[in-house]
Amino acid sequence: MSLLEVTDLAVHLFTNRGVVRAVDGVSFSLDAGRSLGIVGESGCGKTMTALSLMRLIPEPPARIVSGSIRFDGEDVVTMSSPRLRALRGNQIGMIYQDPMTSLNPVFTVGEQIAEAVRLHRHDTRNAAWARAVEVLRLVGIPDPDRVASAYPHQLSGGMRQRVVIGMALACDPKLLVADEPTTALDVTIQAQILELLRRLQGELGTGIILITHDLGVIADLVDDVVVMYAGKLVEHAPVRRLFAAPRHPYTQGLLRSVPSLETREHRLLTIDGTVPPAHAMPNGCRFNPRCALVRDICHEQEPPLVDAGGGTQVACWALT
Amino acid sequence: MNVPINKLTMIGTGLSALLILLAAFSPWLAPLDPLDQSFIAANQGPTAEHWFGTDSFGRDVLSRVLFGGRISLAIGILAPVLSALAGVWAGMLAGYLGGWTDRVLSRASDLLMSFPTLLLGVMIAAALGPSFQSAVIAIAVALFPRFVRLSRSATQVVRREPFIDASIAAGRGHLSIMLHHVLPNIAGPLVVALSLWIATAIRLEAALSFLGLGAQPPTPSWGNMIRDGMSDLVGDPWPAAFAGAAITLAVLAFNMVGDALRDLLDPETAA
Repeated sequence: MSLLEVTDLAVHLFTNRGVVRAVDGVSFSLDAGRSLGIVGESGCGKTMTALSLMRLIPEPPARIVSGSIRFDGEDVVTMSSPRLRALRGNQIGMIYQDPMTSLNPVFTVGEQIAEAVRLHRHDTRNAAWARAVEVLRLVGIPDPDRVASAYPHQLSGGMRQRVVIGMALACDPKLLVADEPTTALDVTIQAQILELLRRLQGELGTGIILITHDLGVIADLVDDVVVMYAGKLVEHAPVRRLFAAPRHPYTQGLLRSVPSLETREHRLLTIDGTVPPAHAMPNGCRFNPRCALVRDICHEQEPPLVDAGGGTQVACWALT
Repeated sequence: MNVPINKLTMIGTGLSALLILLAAFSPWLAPLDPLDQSFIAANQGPTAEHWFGTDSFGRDVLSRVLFGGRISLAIGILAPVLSALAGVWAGMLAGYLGGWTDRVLSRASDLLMSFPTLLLGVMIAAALGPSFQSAVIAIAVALFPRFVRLSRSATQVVRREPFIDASIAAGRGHLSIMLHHVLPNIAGPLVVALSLWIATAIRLEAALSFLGLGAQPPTPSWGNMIRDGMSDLVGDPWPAAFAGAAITLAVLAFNMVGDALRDLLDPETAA
């Protein structure tokens, strides 16, 4: 049985200007100890999808209108508040984008991790503190005893992101959801944090869902990739396969727009056009205004997700 | 932590502490019983026996100022503290939960705010009947909307911080988040406001007592001493003058503490 099974998830935003289908019929699953990347540009629904996994979406305006999210056999969508609180932080850990602001400035990092531990375990203060020092060591912080007594502002961005990761792992969750964990960091620190996540996954066997707009970030960290466009899942493939043989025109465009050291292109390619505004989505395939392979049917019906061989699933009329 | 301490901070804190101590220990410090009347010694200026003189009943003004400080400072401190306890929570709930909770609490405090503070205090004290308790309640209610507003707006800022979302994701409940994450982050401005509003409350207490709505004679409070002294301000100005000086000193001292705390907690105005 998979650890996480998302089926036909739809999250809509009920705004004054109408209903925005932020996530529209997304399905994927994750086995224990495996990792999945969710890729797409801003506003494609990847963060909404990730937040839904723990029902962290802002309600209102957002609401899960249909679908199910089964974590360890239990449906998160219909879960009671006390069960949700027991799930959050304990079974599923969350890492936010900006380590500068995701720590409370008025407490030491040790206190914050210890508090997170004590929320879910009936540990003594001393035991929780010892656990805090232990996870700081685990995430590769030198001199964890001293750093545990430091306030967030006394640490660098990379150190803080390590603290945030440590806090997310403090209760040994089965799944770690990382929403753009390296976007706010320097490039050199990014590599270290990714290396850390990879090492932790190997050591602890934690499942990871990594949300990013940066294909380079997922390339050697995740097993499978889900590509999202305008709230729709357009391609789902093993990571090697996605890079070697991208099928959806959008995925191909994304990959062409990654700068490479091996080929000497004069100009970096982009995908023509922009994502349509959320309340004015085209009929049929949502990518049709920007697609080179567009046909009549693309304007009329939404393409279903179909098997395209090699473990790849893709939603495109041109490929069926 | 390296805290810059300037002269103003020292003087303000020292003076406030001194006034509180003098009031607290007035039964041991006062030279005479503040209620002891003597018609022979009435309406005297300062003498060796009566340092601050005597009032129209021949009571020792120094003793009355010291004992009066007990009432005035007790009300002046108790009322804002009670008001803060209620107001800060109400403001946090409004700022954190938003929606209908916010609308109801904000409109209620706007309604209270629409009355001038003193007028509101007078109305409540008059409705409850003059006494120590009603002065405390009146002042607490009069200051309540200010605490609600301050705490609400500070909470709204903290509410948007990602570490609040992070603690929801860590499995914390909303009440626990307000207590553990919001309150410590809004405590700074609230402490500053509290010390400034203690000064305001001391003034309000004096005003209520002056109008006969605070502690009742013969119990001395700074406000009712001025009221008593008013009857013969030309013949014997001393009771009113010393009580007035005590009020001025106390208000000044707590304002200085507030200013000092504000500079301390807000680096931008510290320079």
